[in-house]
Amino acid sequence: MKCRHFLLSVQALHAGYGGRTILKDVDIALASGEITALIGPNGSGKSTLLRCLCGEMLPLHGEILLEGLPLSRLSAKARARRIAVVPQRPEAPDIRASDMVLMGRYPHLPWHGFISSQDRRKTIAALRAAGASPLAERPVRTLSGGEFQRIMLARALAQEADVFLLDEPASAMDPARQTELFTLLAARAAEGAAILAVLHDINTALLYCDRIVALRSGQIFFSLTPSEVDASLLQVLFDTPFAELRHPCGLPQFSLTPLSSPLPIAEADA
Amino acid sequence: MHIITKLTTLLASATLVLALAVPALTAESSPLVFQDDSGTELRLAAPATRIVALYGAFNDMLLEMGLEDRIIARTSADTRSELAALPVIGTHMRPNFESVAALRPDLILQFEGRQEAQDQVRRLRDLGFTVAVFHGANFTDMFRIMEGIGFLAGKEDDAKSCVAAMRKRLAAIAATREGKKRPRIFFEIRSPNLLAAGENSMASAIIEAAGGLNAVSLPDRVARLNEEELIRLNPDAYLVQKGPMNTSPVPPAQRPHYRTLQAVKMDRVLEVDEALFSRPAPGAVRAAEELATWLNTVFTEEERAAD
Amino acid sequence: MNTSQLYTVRRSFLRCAPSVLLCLCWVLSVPLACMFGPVDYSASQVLAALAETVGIPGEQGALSDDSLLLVVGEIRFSRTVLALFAGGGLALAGVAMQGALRNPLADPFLMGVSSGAALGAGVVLTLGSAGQLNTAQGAMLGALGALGLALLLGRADNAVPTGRERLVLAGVAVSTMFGAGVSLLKALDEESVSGIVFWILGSFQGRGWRDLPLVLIPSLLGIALLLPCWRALDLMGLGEEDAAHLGVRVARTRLLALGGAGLLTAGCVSVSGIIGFVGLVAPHILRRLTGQWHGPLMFTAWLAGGLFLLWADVAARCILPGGMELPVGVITSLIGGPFFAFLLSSGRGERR
Repeated sequence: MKCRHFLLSVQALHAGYGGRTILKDVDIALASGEITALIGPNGSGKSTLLRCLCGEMLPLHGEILLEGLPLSRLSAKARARRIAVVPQRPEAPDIRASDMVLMGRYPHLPWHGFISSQDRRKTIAALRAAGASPLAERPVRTLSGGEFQRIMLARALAQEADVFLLDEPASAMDPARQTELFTLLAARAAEGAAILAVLHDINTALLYCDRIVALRSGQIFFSLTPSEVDASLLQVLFDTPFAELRHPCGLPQFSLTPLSSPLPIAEADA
Repeated sequence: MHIITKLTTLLASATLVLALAVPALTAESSPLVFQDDSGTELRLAAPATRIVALYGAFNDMLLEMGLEDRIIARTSADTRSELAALPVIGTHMRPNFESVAALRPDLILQFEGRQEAQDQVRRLRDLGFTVAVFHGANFTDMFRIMEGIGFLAGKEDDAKSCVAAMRKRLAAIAATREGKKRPRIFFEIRSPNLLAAGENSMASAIIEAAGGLNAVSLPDRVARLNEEELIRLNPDAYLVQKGPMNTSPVPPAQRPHYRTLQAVKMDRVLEVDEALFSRPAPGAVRAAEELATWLNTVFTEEERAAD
Repeated sequence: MNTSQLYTVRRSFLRCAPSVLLCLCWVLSVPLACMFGPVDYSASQVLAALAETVGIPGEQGALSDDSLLLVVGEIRFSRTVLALFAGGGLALAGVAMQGALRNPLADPFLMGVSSGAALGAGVVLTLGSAGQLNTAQGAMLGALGALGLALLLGRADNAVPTGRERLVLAGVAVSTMFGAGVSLLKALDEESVSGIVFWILGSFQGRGWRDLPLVLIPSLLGIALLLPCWRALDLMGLGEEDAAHLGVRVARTRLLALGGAGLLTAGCVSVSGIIGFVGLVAPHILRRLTGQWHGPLMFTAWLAGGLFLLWADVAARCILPGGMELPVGVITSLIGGPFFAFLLSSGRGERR
């Protein structure tokens, strides 16, 4: 087993708003070359954890370390050069898709703020890598949910960060686009990036991620490799029964139980 | 005794009535009837003895006619020493109705100015007060107003003699300016945001009376004027009023845009008191006298010859 | 990818066109505006006077009239320059406020600057030059006081880094407080009412070269504050949180933008009085012509705001006969109001 190099890590993280603690004693570390899936029921603190990790929200306790250095010591731009965030529900401004992607170059712009031809080249490359070139000239407001998610991914790529924090990046994508997305993420990981993706689809997480981290009531419930996850753990995590299936490749897959029959059905989707 | 007194009064009244040609037979039963400048017919049962003036110029007139004992209140802006002891009843545009009512005036005098003042008149009349409204921006109007107030106060003779004396003074001014060129004079009401006295203003009337001509020939009372126009007019003399409208005027000699003005170059600039030059009050006669004296000194014979 | 590059080229050309056109109009307007006024001068006389004023030696005898140099070189020329800077400042402030607060209805007076200036000017107009201040200086002090107070009240604390509503509310509170002060002054001193009212209406009458530093220094300071955040303002359009993800220091950017806008506004307002609609209308029109990007938007809005105010001022001094003036603030609002209404209704049609 290769030595894991952690890019972003935090120990004993506590976070909350206005006296209400949402995250309690969370330890998490994102390793270079790995895609980590963050799963958990609604309100378990997934998005809050993401906001802490990107520096948007200040923790009550615990320090986010980027390669051993406190994140708070970095300037906003330096932080954005290392960490790219794809928010769950970004606002759609009245601009073109290509301009949205171009904004990903902001942390790399010099003090005077002018965009160089290199920035434009990298924007075009990012659009192409995300398979979003045909969308480039469309106004962002006319894009469908999945198309918008692709543009946001392209923006994250244009940022040239090595840590990616993605909040449900594929929730509105069709299966083919989802596969493309994870292929792309895997390629980034292979180049050394550390990726954390909040996912609702457990089966996608198991198929494409190297590690599954589950949050329950603001605490880490488990942190396992996909093959170590079993139905009983998920049942406790989500408080609903799961049936364990097996993918031909050998990885576990889980199915919800249909309303009418207690028996598991093979083609049920989670 | 009683009958004799009554007869005397009757006789006196009859004489007065005849003299005034008022269609009334006896003083006891006949009210004073007067039409004010707003066209309203006022009826007073007896000459007014408790007068509240909502405009300072009326108090000036009453003082000039020797009727200071009829004035029972003043506005807050009216700070002259003769009236300092009187109660204050608010301001020209916002008199305090309670204070006014408490003083039980039998006559209220108001100047017809802004809409706001007219609204106040209407409300005061609704409350049952007798309000006389006057307007005017020249000496003729001023004399007419004085005679009107004199009539309402039952002292028309005093008013007439007062007016005659003032006419005499104006004639004397005219005599000192006889045969001299009439300099064109600019009257600054306010600057910056230059405001000039137009033809229909008291300042203009004073300038005329002092043997000058208002350089601004616009028919308004005040004119918001462009400086270019002032430079084009190039008046012979420049008057700057100082007072609430123009609290701290910069001396024209220090204003960069005024340097080509004949009046400034020849130092024919006079700072005058807003209270004297801006309202139809007896002080306007004094203003005209002072202005005429000044004109006689700044426009010497050789300068007039040069002009 | 080729088409994409083609688009970029065409778009950047289209984006440049308004800037170039406005630059041209701006430069041409300076001599042109100097030709209008109550005193009649021929075009050649005006040009000769302007040349003389800026130090280009012309042929002798062209300046036969003694007052020509004064009227054109000092009064009209200085008014032209003041109007260009004041209008530009107001429009630029409008762009910055709308960008920083992400509110298309934000205008330069939202932070209470105008009420503060009105109070400062009102105090001087009422009391006279007790403290050796003139109206403009009093207005400047009032404006800066109001701005400082609004920023202080609305400053974001660490717990809430995005205090957009808070800033707006602080501005409203300060506006109301200072506005009440103006009303109090008017109520206490009837004689000063017309002075304050006329000052509030806004005018360039009587202003000259010596007022230029009063508008220029705050404007340059304001621009200096705005310049480093022009690109960040673009990203603010994505929303505070998303902008922060991309490395924008949201609270700092907003403070810089509002402070800069406030300074610009204070400079304009203290010289000319309160001039409405320039800061609201100019950014909206320019946003349609040049797009959302704050670089070209700020530049063109500065040019267009100045042009708008300049020609409004020319109208203010030429419409009435006999050399009488209208307050320029009345003109801008008279033109700006209906135009803005038209813009809103046509914009709604476009969306559908």
